[in-house]
Amino acid sequence: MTKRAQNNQLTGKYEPVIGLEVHCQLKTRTKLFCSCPQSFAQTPNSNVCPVCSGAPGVLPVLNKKAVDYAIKMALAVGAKINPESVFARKQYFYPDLPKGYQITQFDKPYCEGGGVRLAGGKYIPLTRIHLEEDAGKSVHSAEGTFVDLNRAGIPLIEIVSEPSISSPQEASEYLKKLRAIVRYLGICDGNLEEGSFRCDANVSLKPKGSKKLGARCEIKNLNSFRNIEKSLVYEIYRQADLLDAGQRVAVQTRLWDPALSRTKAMRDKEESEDYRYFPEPDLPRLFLEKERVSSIDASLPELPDAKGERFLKDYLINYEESQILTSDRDLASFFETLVAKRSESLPIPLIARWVCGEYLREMRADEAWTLKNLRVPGDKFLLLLECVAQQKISQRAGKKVFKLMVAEGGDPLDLIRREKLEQVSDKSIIKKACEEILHKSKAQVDEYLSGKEKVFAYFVGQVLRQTGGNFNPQSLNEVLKELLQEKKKQ
Amino acid sequence: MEVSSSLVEKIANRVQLQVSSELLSTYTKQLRKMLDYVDKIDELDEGSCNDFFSLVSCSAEREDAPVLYDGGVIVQQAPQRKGQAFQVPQVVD
Amino acid sequence: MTNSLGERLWTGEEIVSGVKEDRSFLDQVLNFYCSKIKKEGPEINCFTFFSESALAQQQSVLRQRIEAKEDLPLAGLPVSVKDNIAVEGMPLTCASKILENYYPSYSATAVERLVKAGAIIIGKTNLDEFAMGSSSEYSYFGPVKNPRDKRKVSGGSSGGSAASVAGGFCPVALGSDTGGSVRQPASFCGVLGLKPSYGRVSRYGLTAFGSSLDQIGVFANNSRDLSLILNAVSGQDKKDSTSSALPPFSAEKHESLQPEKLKVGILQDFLKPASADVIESFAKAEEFFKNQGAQVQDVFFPELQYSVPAYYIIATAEASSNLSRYDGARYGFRSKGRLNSLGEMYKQSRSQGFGEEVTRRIILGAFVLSEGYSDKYYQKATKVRKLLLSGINKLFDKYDILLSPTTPTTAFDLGSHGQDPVSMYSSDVCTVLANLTGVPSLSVPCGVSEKTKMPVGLQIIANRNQEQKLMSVSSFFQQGFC
Repeated sequence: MTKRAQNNQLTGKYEPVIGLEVHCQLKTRTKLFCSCPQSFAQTPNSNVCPVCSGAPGVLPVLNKKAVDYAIKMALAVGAKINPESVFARKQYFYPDLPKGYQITQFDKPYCEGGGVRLAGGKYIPLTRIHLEEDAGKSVHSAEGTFVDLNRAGIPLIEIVSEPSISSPQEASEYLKKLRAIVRYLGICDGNLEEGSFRCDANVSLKPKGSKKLGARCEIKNLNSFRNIEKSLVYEIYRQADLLDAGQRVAVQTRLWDPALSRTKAMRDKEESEDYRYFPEPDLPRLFLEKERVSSIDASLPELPDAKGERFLKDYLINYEESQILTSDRDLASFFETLVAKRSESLPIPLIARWVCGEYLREMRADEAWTLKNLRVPGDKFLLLLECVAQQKISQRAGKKVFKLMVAEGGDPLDLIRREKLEQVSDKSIIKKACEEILHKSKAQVDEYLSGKEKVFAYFVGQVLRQTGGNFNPQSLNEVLKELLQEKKKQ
Repeated sequence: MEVSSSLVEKIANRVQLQVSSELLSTYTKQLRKMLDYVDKIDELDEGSCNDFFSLVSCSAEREDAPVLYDGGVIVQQAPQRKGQAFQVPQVVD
Repeated sequence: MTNSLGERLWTGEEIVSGVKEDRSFLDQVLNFYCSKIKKEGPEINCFTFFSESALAQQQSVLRQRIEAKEDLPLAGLPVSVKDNIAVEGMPLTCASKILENYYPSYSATAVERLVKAGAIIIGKTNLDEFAMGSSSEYSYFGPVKNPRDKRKVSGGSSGGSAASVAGGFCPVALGSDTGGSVRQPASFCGVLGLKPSYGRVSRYGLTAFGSSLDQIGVFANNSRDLSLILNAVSGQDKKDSTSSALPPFSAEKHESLQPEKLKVGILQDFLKPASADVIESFAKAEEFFKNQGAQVQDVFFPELQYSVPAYYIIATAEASSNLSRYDGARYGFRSKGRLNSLGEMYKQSRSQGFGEEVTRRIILGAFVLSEGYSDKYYQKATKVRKLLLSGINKLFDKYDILLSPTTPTTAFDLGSHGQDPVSMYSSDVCTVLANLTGVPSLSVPCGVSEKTKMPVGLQIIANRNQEQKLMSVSSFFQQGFC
């Protein structure tokens, strides 16, 4: 079943109501409340100190850069920044939580509201964003649980959306946009698989047209875009099936099992933990002055939505392309470098089409190829595109050359020569070949002249086969049409 | 203030304290007494002020500069460990 | 000068100037204290850690530093430190089984500053477990006895520190005060005890009990020594976000008091719960100020009756949270024997590791933060706190200092509150106000009770950051009052 069909089926009787909570690890040099470095550590517990390991008598001290990054995010989504906010303790016992509480923000987060516009145009409002510290990692085995506190204390922002997302596809778009924003801002890697960008979903169904919300389930362990969509689809169907059977959906926390492709109940949310929140006495209120906020505002880069609009306007590309090209800041920058370096005869939409098509496709297939480490450098790519634009080679030949450039490197002009892919546009040569074919295909000519227009493709195919396919298709079509027209007159 | 020993037990559980039934009844009595004592606060009509109370008047933030610490020293203090990781009995959900 | 036992011992200042003049004086001083501690210390039980080798090591390092002509304003001064304050190389037990063999890899900032100035940490002192108590009887290592009368308690929770100074084992000591834990034992033992303004001294390295109430405090036999220590330890610390950015206290700026200009408020609400003998002694102190020409007035502050309940709600709430980290997972005591699950490890380690009073307070603290009760208790206590703060600010608009007895009674007998722990909370009635409002407060010896023959303490309270005033008033009082 196609995604679209699935979506249509789902919204038949019930409307999915989805809210997403995204945790982003902030790319600061140190942790949120201590000066331990945030680095890729192979050894467990190598980036720890008495503060982040919960020793007696230690105290948290807030990381200025983490606050700056948090402010950037608030500005980027148009949230309202609270001039005063409060840190709080969220208390529970778990081995990867060394103090027995997490320092987070509860009643008064540093910003509220704002929103994100999806590629399709829908606006998803946010409830709030707040700062908090990450927990360590626990590895469970039959022997016991092993705890590594390297991750404990890393700064996070938790972005909570309103439950305005209505389908798994919208959820995916929302996350992609959010990820693009944090990467544009340079505050987070946005890597789902590695855990710097984590998502939990709250899903419920309501009868179509009704305002009454259904029971909500929280879905955890969503570590790829594919898993997010799959799990949401599964969960929506699961809840729909229960409701159809007249049963009640229990409020639960459920884990997505990627191996079995299903969600499984973790614990009954009804008997939820009491976190005994209270304001963190070891930290003063967080005062965010206007000057600080406006100075950060002035330093924000052009964000995806603004860049997308500009691309549409200035480059005359289509909407889908503008979304793809601005989905990643480095990609947008690469594209604009190509645009700046191109020759006048190379139309920008062609560049856009090829970047969104061939270039990205090949790049995504190779992990080692990144925008910082180009396998096919920009200037060589431009050369190839120029050949296509000037019709020196056909589109198809162009794609072939590009694949060779990916595999072997090398210069496009050399490869064109080597593979004999120059496109023939000289009509006199084409005419000669066509006349030969038409001469051999008297029966088909008669068929064509009697009205069977489809036979035209046969002539094209024959010519291309005979000559090795290097004729400029447009010229070929023109020549054939002329010749056949003459035959008609005869 | 009505306080039952099952409530006291529930709370003790939440903070990972195991209380023998004998001590539980003692604690319940004592908790009732403590609460009667602090219930005095109810007499006060303190008006409506909802802000966070703090004796500290200004923000304190630090520069994002790493300071290295020997994590090994910390792991050495663990009652049980495996390599450089802390080891605890398995979580039974 | 003579201490409260009538012994002629050195003041801290005398030791420092003596060592400055003659390096060998250091050996004489340390030898004296060492042998006194070994001889009389065990009976008082005021030390949880005392090691001659640790002492010798410090001595040798200090000698090198003196040789290198380092600037050492406190060179040779022996200081004892309450065992809930971290000193690298010495255990940090908090008088609890759960930290029985814990050695911190860092020192508290206050300790670092003392050591930097040349002080010698003579040992760690005994306390109520995790600073929760008013008698130093709730210690895993047994109770601390009052040097004045060994049948009686030394007060708490910093009883060991108070007794170490009162017993002549060292001239000065560090303690901690959350609801009176420095001032009350000072009063019981007949020494001076200072709780600075909140934020005056860094809390980094002080095992947290009530984070918004805790302060490291100082014991001494005279206010000059208190000043010396406060001077060294106070001042903003980057590691403590609640430490104040105000200029640190300076021992140099010694104001001499002009009594006629002094406006004194007598906190009548603290006289009500006091026993007759304490009131009698206090009256003599009041008389002294009047005779010296100060303007003395009675003050009524009815909201004070809510201060102890508010204190217990806030302190236990914060404590229950601060003590969650003691779970047997990363350090400290983990229950022996077979542990089949994480939950078992937590419950058994904590239940076996914590004493009764700590357990009681953790449960109460968790209760007042629980969903459904938090508004009634924790939120309300916070509001009471605001009221008290605004009330006391108004008082300091009119008065320079406020006076009261430090405690309603003199030191009680060991074991006398065993059956009714809640009754012990009322001994904090005079002291919690200063913690709730963050103002500095000092207890200075005020004679002895006619009835019990035990020391009585006079509590002097000043406005936030006015420790200077406390020093000059207490100095004036100590010199003039007999």
